[in-house]
Amino acid sequence: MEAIFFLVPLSIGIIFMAIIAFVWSVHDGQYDDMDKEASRILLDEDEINNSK
Amino acid sequence: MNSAAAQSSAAAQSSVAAQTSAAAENRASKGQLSVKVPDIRCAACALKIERELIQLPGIDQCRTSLATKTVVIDFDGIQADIIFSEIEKLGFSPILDNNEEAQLQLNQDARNMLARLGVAGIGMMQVMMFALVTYVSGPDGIEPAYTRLMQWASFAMATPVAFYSAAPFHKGALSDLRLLSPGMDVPVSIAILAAYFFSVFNVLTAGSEVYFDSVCMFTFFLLVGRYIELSSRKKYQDGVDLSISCLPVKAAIADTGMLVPISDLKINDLVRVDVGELISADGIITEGSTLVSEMTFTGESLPIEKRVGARVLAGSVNIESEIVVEVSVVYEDFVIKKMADLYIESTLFKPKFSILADRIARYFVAAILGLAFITGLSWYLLDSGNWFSIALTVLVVSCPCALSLATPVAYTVAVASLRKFGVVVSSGEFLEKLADTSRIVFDKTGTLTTGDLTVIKIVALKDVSEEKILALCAALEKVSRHPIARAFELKTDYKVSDAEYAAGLGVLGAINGIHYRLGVSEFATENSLSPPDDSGIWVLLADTDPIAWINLSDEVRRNSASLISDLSKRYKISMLTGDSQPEALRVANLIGIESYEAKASPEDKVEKIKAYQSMGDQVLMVGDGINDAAAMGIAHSSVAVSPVDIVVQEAADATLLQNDISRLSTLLGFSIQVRSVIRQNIYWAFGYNLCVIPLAVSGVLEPWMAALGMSLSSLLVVLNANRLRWIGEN
Repeated sequence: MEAIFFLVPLSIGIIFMAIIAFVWSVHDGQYDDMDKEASRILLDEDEINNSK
Repeated sequence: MNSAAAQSSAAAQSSVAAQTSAAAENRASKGQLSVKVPDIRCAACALKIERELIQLPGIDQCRTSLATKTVVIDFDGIQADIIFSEIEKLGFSPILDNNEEAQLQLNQDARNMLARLGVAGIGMMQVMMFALVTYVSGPDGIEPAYTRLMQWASFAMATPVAFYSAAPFHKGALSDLRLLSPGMDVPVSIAILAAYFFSVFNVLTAGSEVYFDSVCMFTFFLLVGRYIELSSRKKYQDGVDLSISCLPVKAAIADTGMLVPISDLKINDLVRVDVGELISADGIITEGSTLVSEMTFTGESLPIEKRVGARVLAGSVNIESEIVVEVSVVYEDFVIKKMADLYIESTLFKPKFSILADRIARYFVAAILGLAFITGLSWYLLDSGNWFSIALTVLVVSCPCALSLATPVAYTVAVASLRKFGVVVSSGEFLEKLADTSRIVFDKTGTLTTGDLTVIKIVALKDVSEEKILALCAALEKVSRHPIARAFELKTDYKVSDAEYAAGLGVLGAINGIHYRLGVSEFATENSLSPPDDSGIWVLLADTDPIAWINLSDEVRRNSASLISDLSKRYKISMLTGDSQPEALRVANLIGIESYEAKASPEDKVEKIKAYQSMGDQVLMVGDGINDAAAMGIAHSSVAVSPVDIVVQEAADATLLQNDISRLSTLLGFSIQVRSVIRQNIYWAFGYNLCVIPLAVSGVLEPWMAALGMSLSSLLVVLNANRLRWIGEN
């Protein structure tokens, strides 16, 4: 059980990294427009480039 | 000389270009640019712009938003107007975002709030997990070393929540204290900080009680409430911003073709609007007829036919043919501008009911602080180890957060729904008054009826068929633009020569060599004849002798009867009209109105409404014309149905932009719904606080229960208000 004294702080460290990544992504504007991102996967990139 | 002229014209052109792009160039060749592109219609458009722009040298980053139809570009080493022309090359029409700063600010607020909410959410989940270990460990407990580990872990996770996520509450509390007017943020902030520091103290001194879980939950649920409030505000603002920034910047003056900024337009200016363009001013059509799409205002995408004399609104699209519009109000009074300002007004508006609640809430905060202090002190003196947690519980549980949200949230949602529904409200007070209505007074012409004349009876004085009479009339009326002429619109093979229109009298012309006259009896024939009866309008067709009397009347709106039968179950209904008695009776019978008054002048209408009011009725006046304006002013509340004159809209408390009177019933129902939602919210919030405080003071509740209860109570209020999002669908 002593492993927990190492693992809990480690997990907290990872969570803090996740928090920083999340805050960065919010301020980068990645959550500004959910509608567009939702349909990005439906669009064929080649098609758009060809229709240029 | 030619070259000099060419040079100067080139110089003039480049100066125009410089002017138009001046705003863009102010930002030099490095910085951020926000551009509205109204023709972004789908995710594909948005992604296309992004993908193509990012390939240009000098563009660092490019983000398009489908929701706000905005492109935000970070650039370095490229001119702003080059970016503009690149977007144009892709087939879009970019507009410089003139409300950019407010927009960016609101975006920034929303991002900050989301980041705070996310951090609080992550923190809450982790802390709850650590707390769970001690909850489930049973009566024997776990080894103190593990408990201490969990405490330290919670400490680490709760710290960003208490200071980063809850920062807006601390900031609000500080400014409240500086102004010496303790608001809702004060107890919230004190509760969060007190719980946090008390727990930190216990962690450091190896005490047993920690409240990090309460800190996180409390912060998270409060932020959820605020985030929902902010997003509904942002959604409304985005919609309004979009329609305003899409207004044309300049309008073309009709006679000179000169371009004038729309903010410099004066009343009675004539502006020309080309096909496919946005109408640049609120006004009346003086030339041409066209189809207009008023989707911005009514959500109705089908274009509406507008002729000379019809009212058009800035921001709607001219679809069919060129028109000339006489400006009827200055830029600040455009409906589209008013709608933008309405949001702010409606959030500031307090119905009487909630003014009381607010006043109580103010004392509430001071009382809570005192109560929490006294409770803590008493339990401490009673030598209870729980004194702090009980005081904290009281502080959290009695916070009137839900009470402070009850009204503004409901009004915000209601105003946004009304806007989508095509109703412009002059103040929030209207909804409150409308809900009290007991009698509805209708104007007849143009309100219950369409205002369009139709032929309802033909009395032939000679042996001529009705078809022939109508065909003759239609041919003659071709020269006239009078509303009467529209009653006779039908195809005819008759050729008219020497046609002439005599204003206010009628038309004359020759068909197959016979001279005809059509109009009022004095005009049509020398012998004065009196019409068969006095209902509606009678016109006489004559050659040398009278041929036929034609009775015209305006059509009852298709849905008037069903509206009245629906409303008469709940309200007393009256009709006031300036028309003759038989005409009023005819319409009243058709629609099913029992109480009506004919031949009423505008003064009579005012008197009649006063009489109803003295009988104790709360009167709603529904009208459309200038002759109703005075009555609208005196009535408790008033609705104008698609009015042509701006005066009428000013006089009325609310305007139905769509020419559809059946929406009135929905509007009345909605006002009652708004009132009941606000009352439910206030009763709930008060009731909750009053019931729970005794429990907290007696030490039955744990702090986390209080936090959850309070947050759920706020959430309930917000969700209840969100029921107002669906107007007229249930």
